[in-house]
Amino acid sequence: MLFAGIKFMKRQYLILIICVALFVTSVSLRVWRLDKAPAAMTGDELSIAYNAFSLGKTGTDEYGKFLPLSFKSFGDYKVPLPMYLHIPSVLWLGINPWSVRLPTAIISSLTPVLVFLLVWELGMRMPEFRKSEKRIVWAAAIAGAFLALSPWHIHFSRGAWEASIAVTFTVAGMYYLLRDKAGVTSTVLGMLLLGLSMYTYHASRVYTIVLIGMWLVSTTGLKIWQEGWSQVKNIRQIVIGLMVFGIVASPAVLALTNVTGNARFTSSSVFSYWSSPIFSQELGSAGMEYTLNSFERMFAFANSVAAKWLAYVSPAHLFALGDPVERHSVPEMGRLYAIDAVWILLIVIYVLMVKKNSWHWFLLGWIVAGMLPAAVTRDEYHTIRSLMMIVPMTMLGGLAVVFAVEKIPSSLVKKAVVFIAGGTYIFVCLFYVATYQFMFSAERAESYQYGIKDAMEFIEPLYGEYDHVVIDTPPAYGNPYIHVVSYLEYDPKRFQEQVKRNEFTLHGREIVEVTGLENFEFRSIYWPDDRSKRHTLFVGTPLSLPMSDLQQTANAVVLKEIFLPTGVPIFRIVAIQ
Amino acid sequence: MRIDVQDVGKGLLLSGALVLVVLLGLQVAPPPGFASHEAVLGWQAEIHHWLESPSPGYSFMITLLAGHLENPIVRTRLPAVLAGMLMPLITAFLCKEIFGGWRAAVVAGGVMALNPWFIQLSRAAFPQTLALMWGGLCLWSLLRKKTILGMVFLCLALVTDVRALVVLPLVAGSLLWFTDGKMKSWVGVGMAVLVAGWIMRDIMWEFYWKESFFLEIGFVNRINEMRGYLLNQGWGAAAPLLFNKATVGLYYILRRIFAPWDWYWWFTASRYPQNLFIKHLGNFYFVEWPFFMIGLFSVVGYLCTVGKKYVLNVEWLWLLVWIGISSLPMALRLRPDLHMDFYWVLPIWCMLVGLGVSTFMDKLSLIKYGSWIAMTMVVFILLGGIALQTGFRRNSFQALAFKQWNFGYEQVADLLAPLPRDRDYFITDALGGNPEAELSLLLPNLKPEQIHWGSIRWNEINYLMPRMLVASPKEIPGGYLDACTLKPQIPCPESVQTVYYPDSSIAVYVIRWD
Repeated sequence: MLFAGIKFMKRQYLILIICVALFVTSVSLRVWRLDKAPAAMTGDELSIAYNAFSLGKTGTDEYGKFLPLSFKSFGDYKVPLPMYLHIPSVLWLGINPWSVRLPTAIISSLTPVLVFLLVWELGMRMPEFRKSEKRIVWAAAIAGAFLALSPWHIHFSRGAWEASIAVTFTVAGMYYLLRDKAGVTSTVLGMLLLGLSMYTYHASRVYTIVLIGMWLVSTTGLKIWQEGWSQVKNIRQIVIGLMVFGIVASPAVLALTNVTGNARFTSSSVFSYWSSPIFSQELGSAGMEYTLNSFERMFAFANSVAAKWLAYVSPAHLFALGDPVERHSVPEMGRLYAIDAVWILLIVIYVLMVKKNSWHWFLLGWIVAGMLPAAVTRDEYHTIRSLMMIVPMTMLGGLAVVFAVEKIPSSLVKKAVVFIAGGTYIFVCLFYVATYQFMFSAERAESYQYGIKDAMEFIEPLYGEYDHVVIDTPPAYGNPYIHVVSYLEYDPKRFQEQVKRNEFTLHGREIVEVTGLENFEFRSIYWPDDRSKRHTLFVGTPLSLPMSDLQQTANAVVLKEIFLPTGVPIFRIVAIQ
Repeated sequence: MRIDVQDVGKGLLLSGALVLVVLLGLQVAPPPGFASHEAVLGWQAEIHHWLESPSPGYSFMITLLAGHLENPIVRTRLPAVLAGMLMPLITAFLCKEIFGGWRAAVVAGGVMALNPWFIQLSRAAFPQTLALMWGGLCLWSLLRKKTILGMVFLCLALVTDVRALVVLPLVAGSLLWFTDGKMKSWVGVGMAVLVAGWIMRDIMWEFYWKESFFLEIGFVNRINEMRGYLLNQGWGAAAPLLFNKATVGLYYILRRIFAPWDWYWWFTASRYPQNLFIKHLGNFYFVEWPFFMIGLFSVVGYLCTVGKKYVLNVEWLWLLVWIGISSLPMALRLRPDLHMDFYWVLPIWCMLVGLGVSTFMDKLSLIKYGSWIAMTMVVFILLGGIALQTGFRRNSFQALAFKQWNFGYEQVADLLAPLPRDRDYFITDALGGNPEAELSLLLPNLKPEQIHWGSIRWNEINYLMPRMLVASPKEIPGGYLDACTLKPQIPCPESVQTVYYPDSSIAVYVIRWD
């Protein structure tokens, strides 16, 4: 027996050892070659980094707003906490992959540890586990390990993805709320963390509120329903906790109803899909005379919305297809390992077989809450918005695996199953790590806007010598100005004074384009016109700066060509004296 | 034998209801054209070369069932349409045999009869529907312990669809395994597989080996690419261990087994835009999904608590095996076609929806408004059937799908039919597909040796100088038909007739020089 006769202190050591092991495993998988995989930093990552840099230097964001709670970004508004969390690292290390990604990687590495502690707490409330602490420890450790090794979670921990930070804050908050003997301090701490999670990612504003509602129902609501108000002893504690949450979270909740929040909701909500031109166009191309037949339109819309929901639990998406956005997934992989289908199936069996109490329903509800923010938006399928799903899935997975292994009658068979399954899992994990670290970083480099960094490093000593520096704006590379100011660590005060912006509205979304900054111009390069410029430096793609045209321009000099890791040319730096 | 009158009454009621639903399904308009794969099946039946057909079983059934019919299109499609009418009934009887209740059976049959995927594949000459019917009859016979009958149906299914050769022996074999089949049943299955395998050997070789992704050069290259990334980083020793044919191959197969379980494809078909099918209406109706899951969980739940909740038999476990096997034809192929390769999942889907509705109705007393929910589901499925019909009938869909269906051969055949047969024709493949099979079938008196098939360049007309040319506007230089002044000099045509596509664009010109 693992715990027979172990005294309290020794048990504490065991918990500590498991927590450290989980943390070390998580950190190793999330930090190793952090500057090389993914191959480059995206505009979104750099937006966080430069705003943190600007806050650290001047106390204002890139728009000159003093300590804002909502950061105006390219086409929407970004949440504040990731910006503030990145201030120490970017001030200390400058803007580079380590300073930008390390905070997220470290914070995310805490989640498997929190999952371990949370499953321990919840396992104590489940009749099938309550009697054996050994089984609870195993279930909690397996759940933590599933999350630590999860490709879905690892992917979004290796980059400044706000979603991953939000997951950690929410899980930490739920842990403090669900502790066995949670007093007022624990509840307040939990509510504080949940309140802060509302500032880490837009989607967390939806699932955090749902989770708090579920927690209230599971802890107090059912008791009031069954035994009446008089039996509820912790009303004071709950009221104080809710007040703390209300105070911390109210600006975030209010932001949902003001212009910025409303703009985001109307532009991305599934309800706007019904009347959107995109939907009409899709119906048209599908051969439906949508303007004539509202019945078919209704039926097709209902089909689309249902499929959108169901996609989040579709085996194809979980194990085979992954996210349609290239940078969100690894080539030829789903969100989970194919072998994970085994423990997903065990979850189904476990849920069907056990006598369920409110905590089983709580975990199942948590999965639905996790997919909620993604499923109500009109995007086809979104692995970041639904990242929270992986936490309850791994928690149930740990419980289900131990429940199933315990059913094996023979000790020898049990050991063999554990040995074979563990070995296979480790091999699959190695397969993924090799694929992610070397294949993904090379093949998906372009989707991570690879190449601009090299270009900026090259022009850094040169750009002051030219009257104009024209930076091309290929669609895949979004807003190149953020790359320029970040890699050159442009003085934020000077940036705010010199920047030239073009603001407009497109399909109900407020768009801001930076068109110029001192001698920088951010626009498309059109060589037949631009070839006549003088004292100009061009940074463009091979399409905008074709070699055959450059060779015919007498005073144009190709200073450098930048290649993707796969050997395909991606940028050309050309000077006209 | 005692006949249960109540049971017979229910059976009659079921049959009547299903006939009505099948009639509703039959209202769906036929495809806008006559596809070349249909023509090939019809032509092989016409010349009695059944073994050279891509589906020997289907071509043979055309000869057997419809050899006397005059219209070649109706003749070719008849076996699939008949199978489409019978399959809902067979599904219902199969479901009744497995789950033991008429309620589940009626729903399963109804779901099958109105299923968009099924309707679309049974309105044209797709051998898959016929194979599905033979397969259903085979499994029903095996469940009823009618082994010899089962073997006959098994053999018919296997020679009808090459996908059945992988799926059906495994499904039938697992059924025998779970139901403790006798030695003679095993021998029967083995013999049927051997006979069908011998008849289908060339087709199997082509389908599963030559088109297997394992043989594709890209697969081997991909493994080398994967290894290359590791070698570049100094991980040479780990490269062959992690990335080799076994690991990557197994990984690919596993991914392909999961790939068809994509709800987008099931309910909207948006990931696989093929004009053969109507986008956004999907292959199933989404309202069926919760009942499918209830049915599936009922099966899993039963297996987890054998003997406690349900008094049913071990065939339930067999259903799960069938679900797993359905993806196999897809998993083995280089370029899988979901609509064709995954078709064997359809009866399972319908039966589990039936079981789900039945289980749901059993628990109605526990659920508020349960009967309303069940009624809503039925209404939605019926509305879905109507949506499917109206969608198919829309001019815009017909106009969009015509090229997929090789629209135009029928019209060309009508133009050619009254003309003399003693001239040389040149017919290009402008309408796509296989013009030889299409026109040979549609024009029974055509002498193949008089016809030149294939693509053409205008310069070749000069020395071939056929009496007639059927070609697309792209193949005939602009200006020739108006002024015939083009070099090289070719005489002006005696007559030019035009075949239009449903969207009013020109499909082909039929040009005659006499």
